[in-house]
Formats: sequence, C-alpha cells, structure tokens
Amino acid sequence: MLEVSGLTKVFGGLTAVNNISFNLSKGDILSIIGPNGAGKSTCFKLIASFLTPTAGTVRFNGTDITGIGPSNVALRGIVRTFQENTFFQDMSVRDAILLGHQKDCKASLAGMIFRTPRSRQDNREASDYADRVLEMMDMQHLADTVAGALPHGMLRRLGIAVALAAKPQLLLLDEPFAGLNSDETKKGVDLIRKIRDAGITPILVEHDMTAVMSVSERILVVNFGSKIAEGTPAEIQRNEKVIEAYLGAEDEEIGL
Amino acid sequence: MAGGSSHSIAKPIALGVLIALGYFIAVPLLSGGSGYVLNVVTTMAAVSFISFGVWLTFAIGRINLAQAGFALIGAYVTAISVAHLGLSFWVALPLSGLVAAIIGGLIGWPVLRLKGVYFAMITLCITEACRLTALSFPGITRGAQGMVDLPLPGDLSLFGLVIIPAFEKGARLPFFYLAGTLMMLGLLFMWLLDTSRVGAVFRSLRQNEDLASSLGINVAKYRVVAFMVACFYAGVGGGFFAALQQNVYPTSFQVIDSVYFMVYCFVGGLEFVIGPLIGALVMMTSFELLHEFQRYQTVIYSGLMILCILLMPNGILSVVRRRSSKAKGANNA
Repeated sequence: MLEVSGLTKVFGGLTAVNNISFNLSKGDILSIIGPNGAGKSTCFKLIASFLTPTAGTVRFNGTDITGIGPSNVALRGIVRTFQENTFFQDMSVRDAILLGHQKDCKASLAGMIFRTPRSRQDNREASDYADRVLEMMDMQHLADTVAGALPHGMLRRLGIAVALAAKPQLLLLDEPFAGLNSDETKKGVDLIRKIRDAGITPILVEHDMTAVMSVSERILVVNFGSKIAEGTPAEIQRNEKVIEAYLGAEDEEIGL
Repeated sequence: MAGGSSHSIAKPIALGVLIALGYFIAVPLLSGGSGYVLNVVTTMAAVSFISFGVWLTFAIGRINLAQAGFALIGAYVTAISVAHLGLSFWVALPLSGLVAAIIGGLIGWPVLRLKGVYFAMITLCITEACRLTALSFPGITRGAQGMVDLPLPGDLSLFGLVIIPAFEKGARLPFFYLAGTLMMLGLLFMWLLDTSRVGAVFRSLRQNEDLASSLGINVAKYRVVAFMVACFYAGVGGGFFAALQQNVYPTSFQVIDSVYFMVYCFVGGLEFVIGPLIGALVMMTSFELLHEFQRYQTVIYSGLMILCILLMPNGILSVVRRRSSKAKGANNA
C-alpha cells in the first residue's frame, strides 16, 4: 500500500531523516518510535507532503506521491493528525467533522453558494457521515460543543475524528497518546484497533512504549534520522541496537 | 452551519426583500427631498458594499488594506470605458469588478502566502502602488488632472425594452436606488456565501490553514477565490463612485479609505456578515450628526471611536448578541 524508499531530508547541515525505507500493507498497525529528535515526525511530514524530501520517494497504491502537497495527498487518501492540539478554535465538533467531508463534495463553488440540488446532496452525505464518525469516536454528546471549550483528552480525540471524517485509507497519527492519562491511553489503543477494523490503516509516531508495544503489529525504530530496526514488538524488545539507543531508560520504558 | 442552514434560506431572503422595499420607499420619503440626506445614504450604501469585500478577507484571516487600490482600479476602468471606449455604464460597472478581480487574482496568488501584519503591510503598499500607477500613465488616466466630466449612466434596455432610464443631471434618486440595490445584492451574496459550505471552509482557513490542508482542502485556491471576490466588490464600488462623482483622480481612493473600509468592519463586528453595513451606518451618521460642533467635529468623532473600540472590542453587533444569549440563558433557567 505504502512504499517509502530512500527517504532523506536535510535541513541546512543537519540530516533529519537519512535514507529510510519501509513498506506497509493494508491493515497493518505500524509504529515509528525513537528517541526525541530522531526524525520520526519529520518522516511523517515527508509522507504527508508537508515537507518535500531532499531525496527518496513515497509511493502510495502504486503512484508516486512525493512532494505533491498536503491537500493532494489527502485527496489520494492519506490524512495526518498533528502532534500539538490542532483544531478549529471557534467551530463546534460537528462543524469541524463536517469540514472533513469537504474533499468529497461534488458541487462546484458557485453550486455550494447557491445551494444547487447537488450541493444539498453533498450536505446530506456529509451530515450522515459526521453522525457515523461521532458515533465511532463516542463523541455524540459533544457534537455542539465549541472546540476551544474541550479538555485536552477530547481535543486529541477531535483531531482523530476530523481526520477520519476525511475518509482516509491511511491515517498518520502523530503522537496520539501525548499527554493522555493511562485510562485515556487504554481507550486510545482500543480506538486504533477499531479504526483498523473499519478498514483504515493507521501509522503511529509515539513515545508511550506500553501503548506502542500493545497496539503495534510492526515497529520501526529510528535514531539520528536512520532506521536502526524493524520488526514485531517482541523482536524489537530483544534488539540490541534498540536497547542501546534507549540505554538508561530501557527498564521502565521498553518494559524489559 | 454548513449542513443545517441550507434548507432554510427562503425565510431570511423574504424578510430581506421586505426590509429592502421598506428602505427604498422610506428613505426618500423621510429625507423630504433633501439632497444632503440622500447623498449621505447613497455614499453609505456604496461604501458598505465595498467594505463587504474587506469583511470577506477578514473571514479567511487576512487584514486587507488593498481595497481602496482595487476600488481605484474599478473607478478607472469605468471612467475609461465610458469616456474613451464609449461603452455603456451598465457594461462598464460589472467589467470594473471583473478587471479588479482578475488583477486581484494575479497579485493575490503570491501575496496571500503572507499572514498577519505582513499581509496588511503589502496590501497597504498595493493601494499606494495603484495611486502611483494612475499618476504615471497620463496618456490613459490623465494623471493628476484626473478624468473629469464623465457622462452620466445612460439607459439600460434589453430588446428595445427600457429597464433603467438614463440618469438625469442633478437627480439624486437614481444613484440612491443604484447604491441601495448594489448594497442589498452584495449583502445577499455574502450571506449566501457565509452560510454555505464555502463559508465554513473560509472560517477553517482563518483558524488553521495546516489542518484545513491536511483534510484535502486546497488552501491556496480558496484564499485566492476569497480575495478575488473581495476585489470584485471593490471594483464595482469604485466604478459606482466614478459615475456618482463624474470624475476620477488618483487620490479618489487612498490608503485612508482602505483603513476606513477596514474600520467599518471592526466597528460593526467581524463575526457578522452585516457588520460592515452597521459599521458604516453608525460611523457615517454619527460623523454627520456631529456637524453641529464645527471644528471640534473630528476630535469628538475620534473620541467616540476610541470609546467604541474600548467598550465593544468585538463590534457593535457582538453586544446585541451577548444580550440575546443572556436573555436565552435566563429563559432556560
């Protein structure tokens, strides 16, 4: 589904991502982990075309999508979430989710403004789909709440809800568990499985090792911009290079 | 908003038509044939029409100080079309809007990447650049002498049927009706836009362009569309003033006018489509009412403006809404 080959990004003299390659098939839950500043998020931004790689290609469903721009990537079915709480401050949860449907609207600009039958059809579809997303995310009771008034945990959830509303095939989750308590993280892990079961392939960049080990089917470890290991959670836990990269923290964090 | 409001556009439009009819009948009656009042109301209507464009650029999160520049472009297009090319005013007016929109699109494409104060600064420069351009091509624009004695709008007829009779010299009512119609149509379109899906997309751009683009929304396209619509409003409004005053000078629209268009939006309230209209109404009538105070007029006016911004930082309409939501809260309790 996704083929990343030789992905490299150089900022001035710093090589943030160095020659990373991996493949992903539909339905696999892949996590990218690594110490702070290892280049995980940069890798994400390169896949989602928020940055243009210095070298290397990203292919999705057989087509080259390297550097085609964030909105074009989204149109092809790759949607990302953001590490920080990124949301539409003054919009209600429902309105934000409705906006996710924008790319699937078939009416023209003028059609939307003058309410042609086509655009009314779009609105009905958007509304139905928003209800489904709200249900899946268990956020029906918050539909009319303005995003700015939500607590942190719910904002993380809203970020995923809005991304889901854009009907991705591949969902890039940038630290979905950041700042969540253990209960919320547990719910998050269940949610990611649920998303996968709905036919959307998730990729995570994450720091929370317990969560990563329990949710991932495959893990890719990055350090200083380069891939140092790839495998199942069990393989990764035994991998010496990985232990070395996390040295000093392996007891608590990897759970060895 | 994007979903629900589409079903219920008939009622507000019917109400709007009633208000419009009331305006067209009541204002001339109340003015009692006073040319002064009609002039003020006409100017107010046309100025709020231009300000709707500024409001729209606010909606996508940009402070637009180029509006006077594009109004100047529109004014010259109308003037040149009717004076040199012999076009009918009724063709020249929409043409002015189109030319302004196209130029706006070309300039806007690169410039709209800028945000905040940088966008405000560059649009301020655009207004100034338009004035200097008008000065630099005296062959076409007659430079600082300006284009004067422009013909009044002729009649508009379709298939031999006269729809709008030719404007007579010295008559104020035709311009009052024209400005009023422009204002109503301008407001109607803005309202349709704001309550549609496109309006929701514009608001999303103001709040977070990165998130919008991650959802597959072509941010660059939508910003340019918004800016072009704004420039269209400026162009048509500028063309109207060229016909009203029968002249255009490079100083007809300057940076200070851009600032005024922006201030009308602020005073009325940026959250409301009708904000620019309320802002222009309140500011222009209060300025005229202060006429009594002669040389203190401007001082008192500025003082009132400062008070207004201190007490109602989100515009006059925000106070109305706060009242109504409080009342609602009381009813629920």
